[in-house]
Amino acid sequence: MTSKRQMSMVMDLNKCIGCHTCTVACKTLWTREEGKEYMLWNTVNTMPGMGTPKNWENMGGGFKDGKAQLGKLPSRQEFGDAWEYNHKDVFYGGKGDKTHLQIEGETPTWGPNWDEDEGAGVFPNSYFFYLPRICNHCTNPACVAACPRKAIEKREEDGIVVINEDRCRGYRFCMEACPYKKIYFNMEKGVSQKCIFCFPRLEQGVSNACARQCPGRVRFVGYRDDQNAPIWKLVEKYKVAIPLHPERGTQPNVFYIPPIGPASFDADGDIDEQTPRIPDEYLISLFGPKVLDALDVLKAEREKTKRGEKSELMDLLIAYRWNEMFGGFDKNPATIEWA
Amino acid sequence: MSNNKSPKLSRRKFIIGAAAGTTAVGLGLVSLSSCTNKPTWQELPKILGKTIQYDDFSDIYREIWKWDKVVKGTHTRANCISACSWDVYVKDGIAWREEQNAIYEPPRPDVPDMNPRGCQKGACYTSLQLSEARVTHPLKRVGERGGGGWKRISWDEALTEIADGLIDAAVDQGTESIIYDHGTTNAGYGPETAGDFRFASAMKTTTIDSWSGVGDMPMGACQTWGMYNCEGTSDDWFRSDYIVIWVGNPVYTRIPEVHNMHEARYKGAKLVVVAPDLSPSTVHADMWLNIKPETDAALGLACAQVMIEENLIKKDYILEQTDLPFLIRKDTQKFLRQSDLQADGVDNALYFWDEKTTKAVLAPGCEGDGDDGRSLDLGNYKPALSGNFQVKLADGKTVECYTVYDKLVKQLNSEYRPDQAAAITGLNPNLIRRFAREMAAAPRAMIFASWGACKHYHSDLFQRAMILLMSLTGNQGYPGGGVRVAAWWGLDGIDAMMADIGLTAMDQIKLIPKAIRGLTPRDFEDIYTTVSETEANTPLMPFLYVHAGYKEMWDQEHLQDSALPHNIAHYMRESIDNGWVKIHPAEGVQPKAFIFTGCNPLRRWPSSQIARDVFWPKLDLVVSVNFRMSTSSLYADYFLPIAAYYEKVGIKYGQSYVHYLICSDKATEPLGESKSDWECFGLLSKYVQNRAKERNIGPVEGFKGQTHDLTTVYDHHTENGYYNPEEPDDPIKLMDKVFENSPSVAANSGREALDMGAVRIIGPARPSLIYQNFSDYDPEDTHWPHRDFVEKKVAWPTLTGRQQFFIDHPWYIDAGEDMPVHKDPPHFNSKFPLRMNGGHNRWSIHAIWRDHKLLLRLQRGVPALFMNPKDCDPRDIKDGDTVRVHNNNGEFEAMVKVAPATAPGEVIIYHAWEPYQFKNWKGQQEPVEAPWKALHLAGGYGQIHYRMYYGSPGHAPRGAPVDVEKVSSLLEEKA
Amino acid sequence: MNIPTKSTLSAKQRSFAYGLMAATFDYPDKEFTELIHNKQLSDQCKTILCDIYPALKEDIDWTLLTTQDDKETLQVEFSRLFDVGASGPPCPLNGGVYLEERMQTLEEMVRFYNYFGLTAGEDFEELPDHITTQLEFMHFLCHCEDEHQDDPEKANHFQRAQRDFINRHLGKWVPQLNDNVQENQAAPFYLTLIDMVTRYILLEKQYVNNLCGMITVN
Repeated sequence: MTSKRQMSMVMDLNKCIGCHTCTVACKTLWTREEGKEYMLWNTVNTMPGMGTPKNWENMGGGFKDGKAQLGKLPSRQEFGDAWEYNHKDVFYGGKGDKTHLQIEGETPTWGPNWDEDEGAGVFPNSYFFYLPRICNHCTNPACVAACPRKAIEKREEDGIVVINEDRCRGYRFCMEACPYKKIYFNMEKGVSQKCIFCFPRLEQGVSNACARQCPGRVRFVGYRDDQNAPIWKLVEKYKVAIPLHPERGTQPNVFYIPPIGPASFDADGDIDEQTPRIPDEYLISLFGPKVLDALDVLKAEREKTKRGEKSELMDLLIAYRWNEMFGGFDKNPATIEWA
Repeated sequence: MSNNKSPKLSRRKFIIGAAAGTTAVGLGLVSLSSCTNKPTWQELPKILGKTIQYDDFSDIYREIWKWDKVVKGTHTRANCISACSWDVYVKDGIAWREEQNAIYEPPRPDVPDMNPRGCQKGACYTSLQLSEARVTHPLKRVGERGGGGWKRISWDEALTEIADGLIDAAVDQGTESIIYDHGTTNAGYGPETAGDFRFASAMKTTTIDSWSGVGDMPMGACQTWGMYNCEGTSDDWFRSDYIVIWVGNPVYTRIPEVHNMHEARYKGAKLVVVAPDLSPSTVHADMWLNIKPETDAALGLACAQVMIEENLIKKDYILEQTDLPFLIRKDTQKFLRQSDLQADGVDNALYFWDEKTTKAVLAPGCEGDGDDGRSLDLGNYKPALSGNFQVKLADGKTVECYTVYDKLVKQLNSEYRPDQAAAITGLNPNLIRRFAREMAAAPRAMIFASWGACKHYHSDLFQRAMILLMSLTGNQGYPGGGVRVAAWWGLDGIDAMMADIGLTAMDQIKLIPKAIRGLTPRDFEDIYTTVSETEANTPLMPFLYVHAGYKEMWDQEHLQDSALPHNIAHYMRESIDNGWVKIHPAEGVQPKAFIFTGCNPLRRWPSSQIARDVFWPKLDLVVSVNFRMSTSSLYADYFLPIAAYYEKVGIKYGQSYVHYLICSDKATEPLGESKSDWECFGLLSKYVQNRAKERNIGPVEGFKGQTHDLTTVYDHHTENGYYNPEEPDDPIKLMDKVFENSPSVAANSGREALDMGAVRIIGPARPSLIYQNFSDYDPEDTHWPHRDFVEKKVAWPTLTGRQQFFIDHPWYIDAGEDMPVHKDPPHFNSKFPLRMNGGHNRWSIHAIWRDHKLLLRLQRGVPALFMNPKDCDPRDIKDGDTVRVHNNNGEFEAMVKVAPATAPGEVIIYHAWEPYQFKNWKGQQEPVEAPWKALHLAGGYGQIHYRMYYGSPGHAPRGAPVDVEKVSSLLEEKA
Repeated sequence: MNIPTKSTLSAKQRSFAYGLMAATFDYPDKEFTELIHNKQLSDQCKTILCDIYPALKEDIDWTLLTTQDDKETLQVEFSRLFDVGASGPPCPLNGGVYLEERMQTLEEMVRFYNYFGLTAGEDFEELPDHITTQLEFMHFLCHCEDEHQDDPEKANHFQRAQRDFINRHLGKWVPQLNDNVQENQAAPFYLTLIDMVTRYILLEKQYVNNLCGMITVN
C-alpha cells in the first residue's frame, strides 16, 4: 500500500551540535511511561562510533534482493539501559565520604551516547560529527514487511509508520528487520514501540518536538511533495539531502545534509586542501556514493556566497525564518489543546 | 503552616483517642470541586453523590489533560550565559513540561532569527526542580559539620538563631566578619537577587567578588581597554566573514547562539578554530589550528608580525584607536609624559609625534589631555606611526623617543616570526601565515574568545595578542568584527534592586559639571570605582590568600612566574599596603560567619580541601541558602530552602546575545516550606533588626571601621517599609519599579514583563561600566560592541584613551609584560607529564543538572575524562577504565574515554562534577593548584586597578600538571 | 495466613488503618514524640492493624514502636533517612523516586486523584507521590467503598481502584523503601514502622487481588 502523501524530515549535519535537546524533548513528551523508560526514540551519536544500540550498523536488517532480512535483535544493554543511581546512599547512608554517587547494580558498559566526542582517525587528523536519528518512516519499511501480525501500519494520509499496539504480540521481528534499529520493546506491555513522528502534534498543525525544539535549527519538516517548502528543494531539486544507509533498501524519509569537515593537515602540519578530514569512504559507507555529489553541490553553492552571489540553497539552509522550516506545521503549541 | 486546620493535626486524630470505625477527618487531599473552601472528609459522601465507574487504571488516562495555565519561565539564577524564554505547562500545582517560547523577531531581514533558543537542560528543568535533591524544610546541623546529622527547624527558629549568630559575629569582629558569597556573580536583574544584595548592603557584610573565582576575568581586555564588555547580539556573528573560535567551545557553551556561526558559513564566512584538541566546536569549522596548549599569545603575535611585515594593517584605524603611535623614551623605556616636558606637567598626559608640525603633541583623549580625555578626534594632527624623534625635556636634556609601534615591531621581528612561533606553538609556519593573511583580508573578522580565554595562567597575554590582531586589522568596533567575550544589557531601572545607590550626595554633586558636558566611559569607570569602594567587596583570590589558608600553597616556588623578581607574597604585601587590592575583613580580623547563596564554594574553589580544612574551622556560623543540597551545603550549619526557578518571579541577567530581556513568572508555589530569595533575605534582615533591638545591641563596627546600627537593618532593606517581602506580590512591586524606570525595554510593569516572558530591547540604556559595551542600541540592527569609540571617536577608558598595548607600570616592566608577549606558565617544566584541561560542558550549568538522571544517561553516567590513545596505550589504559589522576597536590579517580579527538599530552575533564560523585569525594579540583599572576594585584595606574567585578586576579585552573594511572578496568569490574 | 477472597474485611476499618499509617510519617515534633514515648502510637497501630490482619501480631515486634529516644534523636534520624542528601535522601518517602520516571509517576498520581474528584489541598506540603498522600488516597478509596457497602457493584469500582493503586504504586515501591531503610541501618523505631507498613500493604495487595482479580490491563 502506498501513502497518498509522505511526511519527511531533513537534518542538516552541518548545524547539529550534539546537544540532545531533541532527545530530551522527545523523551519528556513520549517515553516517560512504564516500560518506555529506557527508550530514546530520538538519539544523537558521535560518528564514527558504535552509536545506539551499540554497533547498530552491523546488526543487519533491511532488504536484500527485495526480501526483508532479519538481523540481530538488539538487547536492552546495547541500547543503554535507564540506569539508576544510588542517590540514596550518597549522603546519609551513615557512610560519609565513603560512598559516592554511582550507578546501582551492574556497572554499565554501554549507554545511548557512550562514545560521545571521541572521534576516529589519528590525531591531528582525527574527525567526528553528530548524527541525530529518529525512525525513518520508510517508504518501504522492513518492519512492516517483517511483521506477521500486520501490526505495523504506514498511514495513508502522511506515510507515518505506526505500530498498532492492539495487534502487536511482541514477536519483535520488526526490531530484527529494521536496519536502523530504531524500534524498542516495551517489556511491561509486551509490544514494540517507536517514534510516531509526533503525529498528534502534526494533526494540530504543530511541528515535531525534536524539530521545533532544536536550538541548532537542524531539522526541516514537511510533505515530500510540497514544492514550495524546503524539503522538496533540498531532496529533489538540489539533491543535497540524502538518506542514511540507502543500500538497506527501505527508502527512508529522513534525509541528511552531509557534513563538510575542517581541512586536514599534511605531514608537515600545513593545511591539505586535497584530502578531506572526514574520509569520503566513510561518508559513502553511511550515505552511499551520492554523498559526494551532494557535497559538491554544497561546496559549489558555498563558493557562490563567498563571492557575494545569491544562492537559494544556502538561503534555505541558513533558514532565516525558523518557522518556515516546518512546511506549514508552524503553530505554537502553547495555543493548542493537548492530548 | 500550623493553623488548626492543618492536615497534620487532622491526621493525628487517627492516633489520638479515635477508635477504628470512626469516620475519618480532613486530610491533605481535598475535593476538586470545592478546593477553595477546604471541605472536611465528612462532606465527601455528599460530593461523591454519583457513582464512579472504574474498571482499571487505563480509565484514568482517558481524559485529555487540560493545562491549568501556561506561564513564561526561565532559569533566572542558574548563572547560564544564555537567556531563553520557556512556556511552562502547569496543572494541579505542578509544572509538568516546558517548550520554548519561540517568539523572537529578527532586527533586520538579512540575519537569521533567534528561534527557538533553549537547550537540553532547559528542556528538562521541570523534572530537576522536583528532584529528590531538593530540600524543602529549613535544616539545622546536629553533630559535626559534614557529619550528616540534620534536623528540620521552623523558619522562625532558623531565622532567630542565624540572626543571633550574625549579631554575635558583628559584635565580636564587626560586620565585615560576615562573609556573603553569591558565587560567580550569580545574579539576576530583579527580585531573585535583590533580596540578598539588599541584605548584604544593609548588614555591611563583606561581599566576595567571585567574578574571577572560576577564572572568568578577562584581565587582558581590562588591561588593554580598561573594560571588558565586548559582545553584542549573537546574530551579529552572522555578519562576520571570518570567525575565529579561539579557546572557547561554543558548541558546548552557546547552544542557543552557535547556529549563527554555522549559518554564517553558508553565507560565505570561514569558521576557524584555534584549540589544542579537535574540540566539538571544530566539527563545523573550515580550518583548525591545533595549537600547543598555552601558547596562544605566540600565535597571535606571529600573526601580527606577518600582518605588519606584509603591510596588511589598517593604518588609519591604528593611528586613531590604538596607542601604537605614542612616544616612548628610549632611555627609560616609558611613555613620554607631560611631567617629563614641563615642571608642572602631569603623569597621565602622553604624546605622539605630529608629522605636520614635526613635534611631540599631547594626544587628545589620553587621561591627562586637559579636556578630561574625552575625544580621539585627531583634528589636524597627523601622528607618526614610526620613527626616531628627539624631544627636549623640562630639564633641558634631549632624549630620543620612538613609538609603541616601533617597540612592537622590533619585538615581533626578533621573537615572533612565524618560524619562531612555530617552535613554540607546534604549528606549521605556513599555517600561521595563512591564518594571518586570511584574517587581514576578510572584510570583517571576529575572535570569539569567551571566558575560556581567561582561565590560563597567562590568559591576559592571549587576550592582549588577540586584541592586537583585531586592532591591526581595524575590526574592533565594527559589525561581525572584533574580540568577543561578553556584554550585558543595561537597564536603568535596575537601581531598584538596591535600597540606595552607592554614591554619596557629595559624589553626586561632584559629577554635575561632568554630566553637563556628557559623561565619558572614563567618568563611568570613576563612578563605578567609587561605588565599588563604598562597600566591602573583596576579590576571591586575595580573600582566600589572606583568610582561607591558601597562602602556603600559592607561595610555593613552583607556582611563581620566574620572570618576576619576587614571590607573590611580596606583591600581595605591596598591593595591600598601597591600597590596590581590597581585603575585607582587614588582615587580622577573623571571618566569623559565612552565608552563601546558590553557589557551591567547596566544589568551585581550587584545592577546596584547603578551604574546608583551614577556612571553615574559623567560622562560627555557616549558612547555605539554596534549593538543592550540594557539597558545600553539607558543611553548613543551617540550610535555608529556596524556591526553584519556576516557583518565583525574576529577571534573568541580560546577556547581550539576544535582543530581549528574559523574565520568569511563578508557575507553581514553592515546594514544601521553601521561600523565594526575596522573602528569605527580607526575613533575615527583619530578624536581625528585631533581635538586635531585643538584645539591646548598640552600634557595632561596620564597613571600614565605621559604626553600624543593626537595629535599622530591615528599615534600610525595605526602604522604611516601602517593601514587605512577606507579601506575595512584593517581588512584582520591585519588578514594577525596575520596568517603570527602564525605557530601553518594551515592558512598563512587572506584570507586563512576566506575561511577555521575553521583553524586547527597544533602545539604549544609560551607560554603566558593568553593563555596557559602549554601543547605542538600534532596534533595527544587530548589536555589536565599541561603536562609540570608532563612530563617535569617544576615548577608551584607559590611560592613553586608546586600546593600549604598552603598559609601563613598573611591575609589568619587571615581568617583561609591558608589551604583549608570550610567556611559559610556571608549570611549563613540571615533572608531571600530562596537562589537565577542561571547560564548561554541554550537560550542566556549573553543578546544576550535573546529577540529572536522564542527562547522566546521555553521558557515561559517572565523571569521565578524555585522553588520547597515545597516552593511554603506554599506561595500559582502555576505554572505560577507571584511572587515578594525581600530582603532589591531590588526586581523584574518573572513567577514561579514549578519544582520538583529544590532543596527546592532554587530560580533559569538563566542568563541575560534584565531589560527591567521585570516590572518597575527592573531586576534580583536588590536584588543581590554580596559581595566579601577581601582576593582577597591580594598581595605581590608569585602567590598572581593582573595582568590583573588574580587574581582580583570576586563578588559572587550566594546564594543571598531572599524571594518570590505571586503577581498574570496566570489564574486570564486571567479571 | 489466609487472605479472605471475598469482601469480608471491613472497609471502614481498612480506611482507618490507612489514615492511621499516613499519620505515622509526620515529622517527630514534641507532641508526636510523646505519642511514641507513651506507647499510644504503638498501641493504636497494633490494635487497628492486627484487628484486620491478625498475623501481624506475631510478625512485628510492636514494642519497638515505642522508644524513649528523645525528640532530637528521632528528628535527626528522620532527616537522615527521609529528608536530606546532596542528591536526595537515602530513603525518600516519594514513591516516584523509586520508579524510573518520576514525572510519569506524578502524572499518574494526579490522574488517579483527579479521577476520583480529588486534588492536593492548599495547606498540603507534600507532592502527590509522597507516602502520606498515597496512604491517604487509599484511606479515601476504602472510605468510599464503605460508603457503598450496600451496593457491591458500586463498591467494586473502588476495590478495583485500590487493587491498581497498590499494585502499581504502594506495593511496588514501599518494599524498596523497606530495603533502603534496612540497608541504611535505621533506628529500630523507623525500621519497625516501615516494616509494619510494608507488611500491611503486601497483605492488602493479596486481599485486593483476591477480591477483584489480578491486574490485567497494562
